[in-house]
Amino acid sequence: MAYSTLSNFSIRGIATCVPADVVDNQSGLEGVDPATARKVSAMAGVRRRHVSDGTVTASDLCRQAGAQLLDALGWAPESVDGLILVTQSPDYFLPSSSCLVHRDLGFPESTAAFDVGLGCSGYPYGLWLGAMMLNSGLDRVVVMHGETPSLFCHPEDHGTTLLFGDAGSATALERDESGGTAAFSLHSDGAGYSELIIRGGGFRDRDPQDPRDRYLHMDGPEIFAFSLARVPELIRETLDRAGIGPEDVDHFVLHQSNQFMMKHLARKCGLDPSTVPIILEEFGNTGGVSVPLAMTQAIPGDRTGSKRICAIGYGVGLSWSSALFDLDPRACLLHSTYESAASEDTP
Amino acid sequence: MSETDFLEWCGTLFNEPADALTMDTRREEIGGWDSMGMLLLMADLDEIHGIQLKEEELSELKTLRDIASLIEARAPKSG
Repeated sequence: MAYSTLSNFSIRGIATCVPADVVDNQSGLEGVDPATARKVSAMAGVRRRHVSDGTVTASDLCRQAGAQLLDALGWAPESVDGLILVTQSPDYFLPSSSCLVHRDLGFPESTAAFDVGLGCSGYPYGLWLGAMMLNSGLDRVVVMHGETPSLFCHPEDHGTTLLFGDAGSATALERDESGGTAAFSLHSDGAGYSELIIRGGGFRDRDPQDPRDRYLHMDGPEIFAFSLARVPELIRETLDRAGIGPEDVDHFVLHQSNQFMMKHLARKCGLDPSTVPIILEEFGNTGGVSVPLAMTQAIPGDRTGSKRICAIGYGVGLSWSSALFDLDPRACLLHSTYESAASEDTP
Repeated sequence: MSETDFLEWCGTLFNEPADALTMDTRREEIGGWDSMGMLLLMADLDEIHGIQLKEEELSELKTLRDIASLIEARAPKSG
């Protein structure tokens, strides 16, 4: 069973970044019937979304979040031993997006940089991997998570076009013998691989006959069935193994999938709604990045005392994960809107 | 739940007049039983009847009678 507890590290800060372009679901989208837009938006809880114009990539958003975070912490790029970029929105099939960020932020050759191909469950997985690296002897690791799911959507699929926004994030982890103990629970079920999928464009079907196969196929009811079955179980397992109850957690930061689904899950798990931030109204579903994004949006920057966080990711894979950790009051939480860089990548 | 109560519940759930529904009304005849309607149905089945639909069961629900039969078969019996 992939349950592990790790100590000797602390989260020093989290930064998130969203594109400047904003789509207002209420003011109508081209080709979307206003009644449909109202119905989907009301159920999903999405009013506005920050979306890429097609030139801004997940690595761009992560790069800006990373630059802001390193600057705030006073971390020289040379001091970072590891860079993980969790994404399913890579700039290229190859090289990995982490190598592009590695170049742009001036990390040294001694920095290990690699991508992890996970989506909605990616944040707890990324934290676990980063904490593992610190426990293996590294001193500083930056875990990035970036996605541009708005670009996955077929313009005529209004179940997805009205739902998704884009975002990038960077989380700074440091070896710290006085850091508390974090617990991670990680799960997978590949049998559900087709419930959220982009079928074409990869090497299984390089040039799909149906152009829609280049876009996201999402079976909402099947994903809801999966979430209903797995998320409450995951939260119970996480709390039980830590020997605590819901009242001992300050913030349950769930993947921002859909307001209707999140509220149902929170009720089902007996969570106090005030401990479950929902930021869908302004950002939509930004994939797994929605977890750190909800943290920078909903957790006060001027908090007193340590806050216990239970981060929950669930979705594409199928894959689901939790991370239970304490967030030090000194950890910075930063957010920015993307500003175009002068030098975008050219291979 | 009586048949009348069941059809009333379905009408509320799918935003359809209950008197336009029968046990044999098919999913494609109910505008509100789209993918969002299915989410509402799943949430109510879970919350009211303690039934969690499995992914493979979703496609088996074709008429309102199928929903009623599911509740009859799967809801925990009281008493």
